[in-house]
Amino acid sequence: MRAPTTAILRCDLRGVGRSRGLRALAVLAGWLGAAMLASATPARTRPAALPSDVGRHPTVAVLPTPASKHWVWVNDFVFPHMADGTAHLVDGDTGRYLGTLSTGYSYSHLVLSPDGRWIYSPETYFSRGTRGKRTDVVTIYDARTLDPAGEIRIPPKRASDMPVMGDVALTDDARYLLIYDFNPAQSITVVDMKTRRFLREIPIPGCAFAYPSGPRSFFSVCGDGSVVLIDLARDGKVVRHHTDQLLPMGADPVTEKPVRVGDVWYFVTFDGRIVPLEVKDGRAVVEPSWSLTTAAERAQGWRPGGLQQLAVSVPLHRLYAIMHQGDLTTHKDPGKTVWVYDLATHRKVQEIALKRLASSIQVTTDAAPLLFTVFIDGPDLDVYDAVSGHWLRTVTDVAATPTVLVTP
Amino acid sequence: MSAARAWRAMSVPMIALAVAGAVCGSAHAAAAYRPRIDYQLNCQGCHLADGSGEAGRVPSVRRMLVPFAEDPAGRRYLIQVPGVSESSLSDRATAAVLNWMVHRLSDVPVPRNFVPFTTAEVARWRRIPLTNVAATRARVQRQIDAHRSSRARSTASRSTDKSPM
Amino acid sequence: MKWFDELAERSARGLAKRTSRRSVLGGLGTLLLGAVAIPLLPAARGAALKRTDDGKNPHWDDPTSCDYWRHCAIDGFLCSCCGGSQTTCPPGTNMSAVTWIGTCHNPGDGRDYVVSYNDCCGKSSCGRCFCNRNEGDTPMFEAGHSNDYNWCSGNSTANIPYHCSTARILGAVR
Ligand code: HEC
Repeated sequence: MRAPTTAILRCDLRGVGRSRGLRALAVLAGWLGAAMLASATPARTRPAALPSDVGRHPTVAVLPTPASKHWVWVNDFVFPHMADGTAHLVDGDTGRYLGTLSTGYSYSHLVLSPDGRWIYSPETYFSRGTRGKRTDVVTIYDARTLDPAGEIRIPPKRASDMPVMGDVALTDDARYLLIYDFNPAQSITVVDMKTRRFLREIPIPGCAFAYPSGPRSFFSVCGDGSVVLIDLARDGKVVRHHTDQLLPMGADPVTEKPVRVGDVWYFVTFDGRIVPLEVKDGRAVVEPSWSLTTAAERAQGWRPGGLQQLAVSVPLHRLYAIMHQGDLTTHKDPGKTVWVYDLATHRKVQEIALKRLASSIQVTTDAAPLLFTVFIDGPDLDVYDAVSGHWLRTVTDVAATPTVLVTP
Repeated sequence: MSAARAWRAMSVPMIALAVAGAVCGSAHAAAAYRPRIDYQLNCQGCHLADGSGEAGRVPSVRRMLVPFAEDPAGRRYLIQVPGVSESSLSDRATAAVLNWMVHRLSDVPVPRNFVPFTTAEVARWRRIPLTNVAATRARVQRQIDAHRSSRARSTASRSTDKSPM
Repeated sequence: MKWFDELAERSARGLAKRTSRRSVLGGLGTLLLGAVAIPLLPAARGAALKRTDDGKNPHWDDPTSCDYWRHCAIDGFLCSCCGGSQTTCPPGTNMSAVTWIGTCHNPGDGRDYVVSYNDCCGKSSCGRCFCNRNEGDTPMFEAGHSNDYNWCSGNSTANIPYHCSTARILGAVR
């Protein structure tokens, strides 16, 4: 590349603005010029081959399909600039940053369609950025190009809260997208993803979040620990069943950050008690609870904390929890260690020492899973082997305020 | 406003009485202190200090408390509405908050024969959840309106004392 | 948002002190869970927070500090750092009337106060003096006691753009 022609070409290209059209023209002109120069000086030795991007139209990357099980979406609340919510896609195997979604005000998180083709993202916009008319939509992105492929208007009520998985969920049959509303009246917005239409708003007064529990059913948890089970199955009709108080509230309440294995949702209390709630066929049953900590560990103040504080590996049948030491008021504090439990025996099988504080963790869904960790103050994503616990890599400068991690 | 009023009425021994849970006739201000604080801590965030709420989001309770409290189904609704039934307040404290609200936040005059909410009444209804709050409310409201108009008809000839207490 | 580091540090430093109080907290918890005539105020829990080894909080009286006593359950940017104060919203914003209310202990007079954490709304985040403390904060299931909701959500004027948080005193407890 030391030939003078190439050097000139490079300068020319750099001088041209960012417009795609202009750049394409410049490439073309440069290429023609180079060709002319080359033919005008036949005595000289031929320059080395041009870099492959010279002479080609600039292109926009598309993502390979299907998505790798080791990819992760890092949802970004961007707390200092909440109008600019984003979601970042990173490949855990290579540490490569793959793409961004720009997702509007007070962003929670996206949901991936099980067929891998679409990304569903409930978003809020104002006509003047942070002022003016509020519009809420579900934007449907093409999972390959990350281009918006469609948009569904929903009532402008989407909850603005510290993002948790229960803010948005898809029913198990992938038909209905469920969005938690808070203003402060509480409801669930149901969007039909087959017809791509807003279907209805189901009031859930006194209750919060959507936790899927079957092909077309979900439940919400109420302020007194009771549970409202909602079934959308029969002709789109809403069948509702309100249980007695099942989950502990009060001084040692369950957090709104449970994880799911099949029919069982594992809730955890401030004090580290796991409360499994089995929801099946329109019935909810609490199974015996167990503790993440021994009496000795509790005496040392060990407890779970953080935002996405639990993760599960279904194939390994393991539960992962971010742990730290502190009193009951530290229930949101991050931790520098992840404790791993066998879900069958409830025994701790491993302690993974982290490179830095983590407030959210996620484990990939495959049988040789990765463990991802982020700290809410950003900006880096750490990748560990979820089996050995070994640190694999750090991806720097991923997100400003990373909240929940979503894996295919 | 009402906070300042109740504030002045408070004295340390009275509060001590209230905190100790002593319910005695002379400790009227103390008895009012506890439900006021309970209302502040558990309800006021959404319903505001005067119960007026936020239009289109949190309903005002100012005109509905008395008519609902005078109707059996309305009383049940007041106990079962999630903000009331699901709070961390005890049954007794909940009854006290409801009574305090009727006396302090109502635009509609409280009738002389108002029957206070009791612990037993709260306990009886609180744990039976409303499956559909909006529909129940609409039904109760219709019922109350119907009663009122029939009562109005039947008492049209008599002159009733409607003066505020 | 350096608070997380600080908190983690604090937790580690103050641990020995706090763990001894845990048993006390456990006791309170039982009371709270049971049906008691007088539920304990959240301040009863918050009182256990200590910030230095000697149990003193050097910034308890500084409204621009996260350690200011009124901020015991705040989650957001402090309006005192944003052109407002702990009781006033910065210019050009408006205060959300709907909010959540808790209690904080004032070391100055040894009393507990009812604190209303009204958010100021209508502009992008102030971005200064982030503070997150969670004394008496509940999971979002108990909406009225959670600092994880953006309370500008209950404001029909601004309708969610969150700027900063105030901590207004409504009255004293006890
Ligand atoms: C998180 C906000 C919130 C809190 C806290 C709250 N409420 Fe409510 N309240 C509402 C909303 C919203 C409604 C409308 C019905 C619904 O969606 O639950 C309501 C409805 C009511 C109603 C019925 C009004 C009507 O016209 O139908 C009463 C009475 C009431 N609340 C009393 C209380 C009391 C008493 C407390 C405290 C013990 C309380 N609420 C706490 C939000 C709240």
